[in-house]
Amino acid sequence: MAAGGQLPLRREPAASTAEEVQEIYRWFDLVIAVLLVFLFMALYHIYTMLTVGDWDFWTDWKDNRWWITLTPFLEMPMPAAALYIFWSRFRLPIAGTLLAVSLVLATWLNRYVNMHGWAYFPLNFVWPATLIPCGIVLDCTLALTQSYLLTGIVGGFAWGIIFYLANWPLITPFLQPTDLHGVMASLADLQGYHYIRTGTPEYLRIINRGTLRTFGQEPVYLSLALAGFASVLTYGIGLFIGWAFTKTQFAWFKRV
Amino acid sequence: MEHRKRAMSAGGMIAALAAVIGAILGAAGSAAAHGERAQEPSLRMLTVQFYDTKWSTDKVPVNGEITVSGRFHVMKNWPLEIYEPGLAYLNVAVPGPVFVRVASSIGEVNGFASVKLELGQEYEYKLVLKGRLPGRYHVHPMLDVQDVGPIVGPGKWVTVEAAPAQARFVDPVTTLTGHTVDLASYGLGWVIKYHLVWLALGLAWLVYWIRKPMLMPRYEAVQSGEADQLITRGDRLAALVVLGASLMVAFGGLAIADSMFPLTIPLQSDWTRAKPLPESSAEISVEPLAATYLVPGRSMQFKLLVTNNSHEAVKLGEFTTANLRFINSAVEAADSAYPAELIAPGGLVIKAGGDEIAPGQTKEVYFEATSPIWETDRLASLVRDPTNRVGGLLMFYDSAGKRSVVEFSHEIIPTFTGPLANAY
Ligand SMILES: [Cu+2]
Repeated sequence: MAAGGQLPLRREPAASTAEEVQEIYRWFDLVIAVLLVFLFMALYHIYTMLTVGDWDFWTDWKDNRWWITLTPFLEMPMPAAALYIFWSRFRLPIAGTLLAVSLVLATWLNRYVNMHGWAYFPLNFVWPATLIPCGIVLDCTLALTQSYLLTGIVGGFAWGIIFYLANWPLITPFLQPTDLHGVMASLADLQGYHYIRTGTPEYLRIINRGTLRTFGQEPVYLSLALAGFASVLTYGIGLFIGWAFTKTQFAWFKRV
Repeated sequence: MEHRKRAMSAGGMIAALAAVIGAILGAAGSAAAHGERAQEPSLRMLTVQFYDTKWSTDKVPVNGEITVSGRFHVMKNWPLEIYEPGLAYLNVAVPGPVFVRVASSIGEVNGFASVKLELGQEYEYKLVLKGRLPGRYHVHPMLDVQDVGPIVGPGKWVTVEAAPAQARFVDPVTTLTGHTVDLASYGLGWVIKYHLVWLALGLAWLVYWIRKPMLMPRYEAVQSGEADQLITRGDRLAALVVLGASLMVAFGGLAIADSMFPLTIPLQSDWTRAKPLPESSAEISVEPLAATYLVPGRSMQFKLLVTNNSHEAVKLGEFTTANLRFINSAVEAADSAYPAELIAPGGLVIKAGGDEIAPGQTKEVYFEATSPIWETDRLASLVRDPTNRVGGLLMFYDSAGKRSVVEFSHEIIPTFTGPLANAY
């Protein structure tokens, strides 16, 4: 079956004129693009739930230490792998943005259908972060420098920084102080207190914890530096995964 | 080789699909189930005993309030197989945020914080909940305990009614800067608008590239060594424009948010020490001598040595464990507001040792707690637990109605032949 079932390679093109070839290529592009978006939505979203998890689920986990550090560098490997594939095979600097857009669509879908529709949480408590600015910075750096290394160092570091710059305005309105019967709490803390989560008790909320408190008043700068450096590192890991993927899995593509 | 690859990728697809479905069901399921009967008997009978649980009402309108209050006893003889309690957080077992918690306290401290619990102590707690989504819900007080898991108190059915005038749920909160916001929807408009700006920027970048011929022509060009010509001057200019726009939106957004909300605080979290109740049991001591479970009769039978060091004669009025109550009707009247399904109809029957323990007296008391509830509440399965131990609280009353709550626990041996009383 394996030997006899081999499809004969078609030497003659199915389309005869150049326009027809272009037309077929366009359709091929669009079908692949749609499939990729759905694939990335599923894969990247699962990956995000398993890694970033609660920090992306709830406003009262979105702190200026863990959230802004962990999210960018944990989110980096998959787009970096895709970046390698898209750049090495097609010279397309779109992988970061494509994955970020897919993730944002998937997380909003999940929050709306699942956490709001099924689990009754108000959307203003469970909105996701946006990774799109990170993706744009990475892609544009690649387009401008045309270098994996410079993209990693400059774009990777900027990826870690711009996550904070672009997402902090989202949480800011929720950080106004209130008086909860004698305890000061932010509106975000109050959301976590009001909207009962049976599976996420207070002591499991990992926010603002850490030992590196001696670098002045603001933990943000340290978190940002950490986010930047760690993102450069995970970019390298992702790039390697992308390279390994093209070495092994691209055999099928050459046959098309 | 070819087949294996395809099989692997199909397997991967199925795994991914299963993960998606699992994630969806998992998140929905955790909100719906409390697993009140699913937990192993030793966790329910030997860790924390809830008692005096009161629900201020069983019917609230949307925006109406209900108070759940009571006490719980943290067992001194904590089972070896369960880690000793770390921090505890007072929670509610309900199917998600169908209520909102507007206030809570545990051991006289604000329930916003987690608390440290001491073994052998009792604490008072209170939860004020506000009806949010119409429906009928089983409402339990619950302690989430670090290193242990959730320990669920008794549940009562509470209806949230959609009274027409009050059907829209509101959650007004006043900030320290004097603004009143509706936490039910506050900030969502801003979040969505801001997300849309970024989505527009991201799509602009993608559309710029998708407009061009993409995959096949570019792949062929790369293969034939013409990769360097694929990124044009125009492409680099577009990258510069999109990058510049992104940085402007990022810094601009930050500046706008800062000017709109000049006063912000970091997220707050805390733990504190809860204050236990004064010990009520100091004057009565109980030494368990034997405990057995008569399987054919569904009867737990206990032999205890009770010493009364108080100045009043006392009577054994109640045995409670795992939220189930066995009441000695000769001493204590059943609480009509307590969920009937958690009160054993047979009650507590004293078979030997008399009704009264005089001041200064030490006496052997033998009583039975007989009920199919042992089976229906899945406590009889304790024979399959790694700790074959039964425990609970005993409540003694003097003639003035003063109560002493005493913890006890003892190894238990099931018997299939005859009651422990036969030993007498
Ligand atoms: Cu229940």
